[in-house]
Amino acid sequence: MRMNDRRTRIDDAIDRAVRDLVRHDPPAGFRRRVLPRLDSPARRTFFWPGLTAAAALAVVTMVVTMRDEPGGPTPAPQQTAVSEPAPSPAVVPTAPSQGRVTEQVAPPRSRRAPENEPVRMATFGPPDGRVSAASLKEAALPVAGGADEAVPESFTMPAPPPIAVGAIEPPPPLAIPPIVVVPIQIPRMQLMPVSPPR
Amino acid sequence: MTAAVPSIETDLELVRLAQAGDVEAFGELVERNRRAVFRAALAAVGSPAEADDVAQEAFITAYKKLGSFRGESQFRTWLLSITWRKAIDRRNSLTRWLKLAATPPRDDAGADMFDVLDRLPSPLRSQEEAVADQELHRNVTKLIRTLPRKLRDALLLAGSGEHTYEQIAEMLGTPVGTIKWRVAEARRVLKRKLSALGYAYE
Repeated sequence: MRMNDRRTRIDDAIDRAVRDLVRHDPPAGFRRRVLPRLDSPARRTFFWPGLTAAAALAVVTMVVTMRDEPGGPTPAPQQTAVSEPAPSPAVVPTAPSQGRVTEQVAPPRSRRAPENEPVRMATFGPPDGRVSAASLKEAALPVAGGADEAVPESFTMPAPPPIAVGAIEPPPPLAIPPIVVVPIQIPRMQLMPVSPPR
Repeated sequence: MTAAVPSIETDLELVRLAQAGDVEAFGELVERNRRAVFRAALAAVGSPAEADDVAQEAFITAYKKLGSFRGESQFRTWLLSITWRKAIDRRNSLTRWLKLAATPPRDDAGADMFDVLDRLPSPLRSQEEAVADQELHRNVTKLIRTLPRKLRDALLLAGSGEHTYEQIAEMLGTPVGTIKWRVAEARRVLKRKLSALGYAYE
């Protein structure tokens, strides 16, 4: 009896849920809304899917572009001013220059410098071996008459003097002391009777 | 062009008049079939607002194609087939998917479809039973929405009270026996899932 009750209750619940889902009537005035549209041209329903697809494509393109540039848009190349060079055996201070512009150093594309990080100056020139004014000797530079005199953008470096390398002497023979093996002493094990459990 | 519709018995005669350009005759066809069309659309798309839109489009399409209707089948069956195609197109449309994706899911989805009378407390039932019934109703409604489409469509169309198995079979392009099996299978699946939720037979 109870099983039948439960079965009936579940069947009734299914019937009621189905009824509630679909047994609805169209809103009032349905006929009045349909008849005026009979002679109207068909709706251009294809417009919306096309527009939607275009919008989705634009969003995808934007996302892909942003993923290529994780640091945001690449800043324009900055002109790096040369500060007073630090004393170095290889670098001779140049003529006094006041904020002289040497060359453009572009920042790395995929990395943005933190805001609280000091501005990097190309004091010793770019790291890829190119020549900058800071790494030239005074004699190789054209004579600078003053701060206002124009400095040539490029010039030819004089060839460096040949480097003389002496003959390498053979190293002294290695003296290896003989290895002494000491046998390991293992103490004899003592077996003790185990006390019975309490 | 528009004339008063005399007392006409059959849909076929109205169709003939509408084919001759009588808009009022077609209006009578709209009046007679609007509920069946609306419920078929509702079974497919699930939203009354969308079903209303689909039903209107179905009638407009039927009016434009009325010349191709030869009366070999019932007008309602022919009309329901048009409605079902429109509803399935709507259900599969990209725009609809985007709208649904943009709409946050409601936890009480389907609760607004409760019959108002069912919510009223009955003096014969205890409050505990009423709450248990409402919970069961919510669970069944959710489970119906998770049914496979073929089973759900057959179950809802059969439960709409407006369509015969033959009309459903014509709409879905499936034999009548298959429709009956799908309805029974849908109920079996629902009971099995309800059993897993704790509504098992004792």
